Amino acid sequence: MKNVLRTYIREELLDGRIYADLTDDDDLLTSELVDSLGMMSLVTFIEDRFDIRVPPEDVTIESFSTISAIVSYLEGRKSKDA
Amino acid sequence: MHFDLSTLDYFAAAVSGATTVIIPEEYTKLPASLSKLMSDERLTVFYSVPLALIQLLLHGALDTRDLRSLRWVLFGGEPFPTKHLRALMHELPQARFSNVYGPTEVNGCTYFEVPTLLAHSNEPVPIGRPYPNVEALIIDENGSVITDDAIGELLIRAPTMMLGYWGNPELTERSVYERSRFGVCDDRFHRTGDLVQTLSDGNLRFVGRKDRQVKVRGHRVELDEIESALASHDAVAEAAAYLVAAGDERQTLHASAILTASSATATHVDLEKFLRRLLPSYAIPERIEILDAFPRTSTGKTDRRELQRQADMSASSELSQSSAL
Repeated sequence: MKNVLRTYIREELLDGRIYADLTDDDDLLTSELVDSLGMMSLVTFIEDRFDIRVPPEDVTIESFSTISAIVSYLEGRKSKDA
Repeated sequence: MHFDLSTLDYFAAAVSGATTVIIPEEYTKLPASLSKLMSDERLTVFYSVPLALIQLLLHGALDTRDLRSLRWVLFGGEPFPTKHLRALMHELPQARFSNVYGPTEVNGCTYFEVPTLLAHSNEPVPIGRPYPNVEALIIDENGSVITDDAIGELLIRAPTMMLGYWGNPELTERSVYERSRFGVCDDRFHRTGDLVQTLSDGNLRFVGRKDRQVKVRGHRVELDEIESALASHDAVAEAAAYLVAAGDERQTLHASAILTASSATATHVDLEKFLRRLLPSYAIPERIEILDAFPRTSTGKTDRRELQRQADMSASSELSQSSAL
């Protein structure tokens, strides 16, 4: 799951910019990595790829600021939905 | 501080004894966190660009937030598509909404208090009237002052007008319009480069940028008018229109649109059909492209030059491909 997210962020959102060492704990929001429209694309990608609906109120700093945060959000969703 | 909207936040709050809440960058990227911050801080006045407010409307989970403390929403910097503005006003029924107009060179200089918007009209809201300490003139192509409802360039004389462009006296000179008074002193006006028209109620209607008024096959076309027509389609979140070089020094009209998340099925054909109902045939873009995102300037506005550059590049590679065949 982490690799899928990292690949998408690196190849689609950072398009052309080199962040080979993007880690799971890098802050996607403050480091000028991903802009607001990029975050919306990321949410759409997650919905399609993992076949879940992410309601707007869940797209917050707590759940989406790092790759690790997104993964724990998605795992939390899975256990809740199951 | 290169962003002139921020002067209101920095100084007006201090003068009136209010608190300024500076929104950290990460909140500007996640509208649902921004709306939560607005609710937690119980913000009363919010001033931003239409793009940020549209994000808030479309992705801000506003129905789950208590924003009843918000009493005034000001916006400026670019036109606010009326269908989004109407929807936002519906979400925040207790708040006043004001359209603030003003180029960076003079800062805010006119404003319009938005009334309840009619359900069926997507006519852009006016930019209103000059502030009491601002004088506005509208001039035609020959520099004569317009007093009726003809379209002309807006000139502004205000105490907040810049002294000049840094290190660029030629540009400063070109941006100034001088009016002789009593044969001794000249009043200095800033040429905004914006085309406006005086409405029957005295409010000014923003028509477009003077440099966005172009000629296509001999017809005068307002690129901004095409954009606002395209943006009024229900499926369109944002729109941009621009000219693309088509070889032989010819230029053709192109447009791009970002769709709202819920209407990803709309096609360029749907959009073209829609435009044909609103615009004369010479103003219909030759190509309408659906994009996921637009390039942005540092202040969040659509970077049309970059869109144009990208389209120019793909057009010239198509041309060279076809000539290679």
